Amino acid sequence: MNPKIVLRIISYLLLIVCVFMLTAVAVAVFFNELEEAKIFAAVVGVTVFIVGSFLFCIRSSSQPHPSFKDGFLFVTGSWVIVALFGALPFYFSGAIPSFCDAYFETISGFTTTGASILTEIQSLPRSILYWRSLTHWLGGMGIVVLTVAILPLLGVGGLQLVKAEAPGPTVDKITPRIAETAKYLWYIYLGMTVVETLLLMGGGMNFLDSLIHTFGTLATGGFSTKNGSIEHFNSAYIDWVITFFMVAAGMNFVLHFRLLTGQGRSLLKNSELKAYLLIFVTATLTIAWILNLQVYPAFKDALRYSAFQVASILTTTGFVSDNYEAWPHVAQAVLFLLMFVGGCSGSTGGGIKVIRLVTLFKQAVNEMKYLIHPKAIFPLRLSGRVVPKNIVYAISGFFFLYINILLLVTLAVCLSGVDLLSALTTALATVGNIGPGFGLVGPTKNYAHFADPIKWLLSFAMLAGRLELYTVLVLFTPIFWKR
Amino acid sequence: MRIVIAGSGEVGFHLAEQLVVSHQDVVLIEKDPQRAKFVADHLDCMVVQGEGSDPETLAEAGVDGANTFIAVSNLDEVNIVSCLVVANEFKVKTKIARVRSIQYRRSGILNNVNLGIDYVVNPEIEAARAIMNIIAHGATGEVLLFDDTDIQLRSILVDEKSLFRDKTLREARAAIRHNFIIAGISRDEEVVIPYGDTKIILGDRVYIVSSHDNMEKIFARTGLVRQNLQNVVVVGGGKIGCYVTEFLLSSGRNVKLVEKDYQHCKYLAEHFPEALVINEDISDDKIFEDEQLHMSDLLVTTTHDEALNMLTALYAKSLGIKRVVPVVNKSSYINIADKLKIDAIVSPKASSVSAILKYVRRGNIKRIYSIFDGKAEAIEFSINPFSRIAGKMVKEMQLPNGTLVVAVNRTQDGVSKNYVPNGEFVIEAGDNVVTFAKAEQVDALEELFLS
Repeated sequence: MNPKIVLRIISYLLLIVCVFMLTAVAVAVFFNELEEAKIFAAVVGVTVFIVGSFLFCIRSSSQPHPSFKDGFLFVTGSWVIVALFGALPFYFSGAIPSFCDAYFETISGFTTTGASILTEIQSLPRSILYWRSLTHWLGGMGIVVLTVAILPLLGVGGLQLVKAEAPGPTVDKITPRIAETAKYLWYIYLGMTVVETLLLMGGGMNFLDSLIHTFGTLATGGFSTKNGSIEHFNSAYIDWVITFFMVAAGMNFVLHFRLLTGQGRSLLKNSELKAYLLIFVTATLTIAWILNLQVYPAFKDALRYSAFQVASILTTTGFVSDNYEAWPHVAQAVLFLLMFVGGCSGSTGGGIKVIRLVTLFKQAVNEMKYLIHPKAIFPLRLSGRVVPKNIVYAISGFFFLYINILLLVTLAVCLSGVDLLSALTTALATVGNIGPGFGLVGPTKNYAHFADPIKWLLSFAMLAGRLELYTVLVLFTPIFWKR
Repeated sequence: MRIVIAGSGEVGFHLAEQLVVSHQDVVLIEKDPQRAKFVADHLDCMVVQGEGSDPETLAEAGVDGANTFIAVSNLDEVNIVSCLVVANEFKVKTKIARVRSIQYRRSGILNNVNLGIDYVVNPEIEAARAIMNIIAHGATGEVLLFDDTDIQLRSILVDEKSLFRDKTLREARAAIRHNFIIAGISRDEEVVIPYGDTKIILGDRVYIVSSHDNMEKIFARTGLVRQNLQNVVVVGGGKIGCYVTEFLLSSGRNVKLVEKDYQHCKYLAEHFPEALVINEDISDDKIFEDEQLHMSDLLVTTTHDEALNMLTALYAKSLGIKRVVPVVNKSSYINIADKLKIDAIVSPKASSVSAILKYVRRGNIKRIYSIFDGKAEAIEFSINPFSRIAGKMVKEMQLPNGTLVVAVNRTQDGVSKNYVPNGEFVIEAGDNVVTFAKAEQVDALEELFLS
């Protein structure tokens, strides 16, 4: 392990994030929020100075070649440090006076959770809201992926880094070079951002709101500029646009690339995509049917609210267009189950990921087949390809860890005197990077009422969930620190 | 430029590694899932799992429209069929196959246009060629020759007695009055492109460029007197061993050929009547004494067991054999060879990679050598009249960092002349220019010379 290399790459990464923070300065100047502009500029200036002089001190001509171990330390370390850096403007501008809260809000942004401790959002300076949602956008496709795309110096090591950050059990390369792959993924992401922003503006939103909600959608984040989230706009058009893009953001971006490059037919064979769409359609129709019977007499309203909320929870976005706690209990139960699913691998969504559930399901079916034909061989196929055993083991291990982390967080939250449903959905909503849950963290509530130690724990849960547990938890194993 | 390589064994992996470092887009096709994962973890290239002769796998690897297809799996037949499939189903400019079998080569079947193979590489022949070069030049280190010139690039290990030891480049040039240039120094598994003030220390391997005559004088001055390598021991009667024996016999040397398989020994004795074929395991305790092997001048170890090749060479050196040349493929062994004072090593892997690279990048490149396990390359360019650098001084060329112009060969009025250029030297169209570059800078250098 080489801490010097790790620190060096983290420094580069921080500089890249600084460049993005400069856009917040521009927003602040544009809206004449000079106080905020000064704070953003000061944070960037001081950070660039510190990081710059640090880089100058440890400069060397050799190329950094991070090893496997360096990769884990670097990815976790950079997320922790970037969140620290991102929290500074909230704290110094007084928008969020407590540092614990500011850190919670930032990590919730970068991990695309969208869990907020803010009760009053609308009155905050627009540049602060912009930065809050920009963290979503950066964290969605991954700050490390961005670094690998921009910095040509990470060759072989780059793949290790991307693997440690990317959602899902495997990483598909779409071009021979990892830097190219990372670049294409970001181009697609950027392209989708432009399209959605324009479409939302067409629905009557102003530019900044459109942009911020686009950040929240494509990163499957969930921060809004309004206290009432998307419900505030009360427009079927906006609901459907956001629903569409939430579903798209929950798909593997490699598939978007294939679609754009005319290899659309391979999508039909993709097991994960099929399962994902099946879950989405089934859940939407079920809830729409229930809502149609008991809440909304018009089916198109029922369908609209149902599709939006299913997409929002399934892709772990966390936008709200209707108070779903007022819905019938069956509809709530379906949403609760969706919290266990999450988006596809290689998407910006969180959660367990569809591909893992599909794999485990197929494995379970295979086990039953083995009971009947003990000597037969049943290969496990995904998208027509046989999955090696060790991937199945890794997924089983992941699933076990995931459930355990959920239970531990639930227990800890219960200890602070919260009821079981609220505690369990708090755990689901943070580890799965969803945002809202049920009860005390329901769609109309927020996370402000938790005590500071619980907020730190939830910050950790969000980070561990975003980096898919292994990358973070491996740092807590003794074997990692042995030479 | 997309290059598809089928097979990621030693040659495939090393080739991909070289191409990736010089910024090419590489796609590897590998049958074994475990090996595929290993490659994907260690190289920044795309890895497709499948058979290199399967059209579907080839399509997935994006072979259509690729610049080059290289089939280097372990099986000759698979490589030939892969090229056949690629030639018939896809559009690929250059197709290269590794074929070991002598029968295929001799029968001329590989030249059949329908097979679509543009270039055949045989690792054993390439390795044997390298060994012959080294022996022909006294077995003091690698010898790289360039086309149409008698400029050579050779390396020597700096030992305690060496004239170069603890001298800066400037001092070394002043001490030796012959015209030469030090192109590179390999030290602690890294290649350094030296400047006038770079100091040469004990244990360095220095790469010297000079004309053939000067080289002999320089070597004599540095204590490496040319040995008359009359009595040679060749260990291992495989393909490399046979080629080398053939060459040694034809150049009038005495050869003792050691091979442990009795049946094979009979075949060898039949084919090489002038050689003394000994049926014994070289690791046997008494063989050096019994057969007086330690009285020989040169020992070449060519068995399939790399560790045995290395150890036998070391043991022979300790017994007083003047020069040893083991055949070794593993990078880790190549890296320690200098520390162990082994005179020269030959790697079939590196020789094949050099041969393939030369073919892949041919055009205005006349010769290309991959040096020191691929960390540096020596490239000979011929300058065409439209070149950007024709008529420019060396110092105006804006050479990338870590590259050097080490020699220029110019033919004027039918007389070929060598120059070791300085900053004011003007490159002209028609020159053959020998350059030396670290692997990372090769593509920048090529761009400069070929645009």
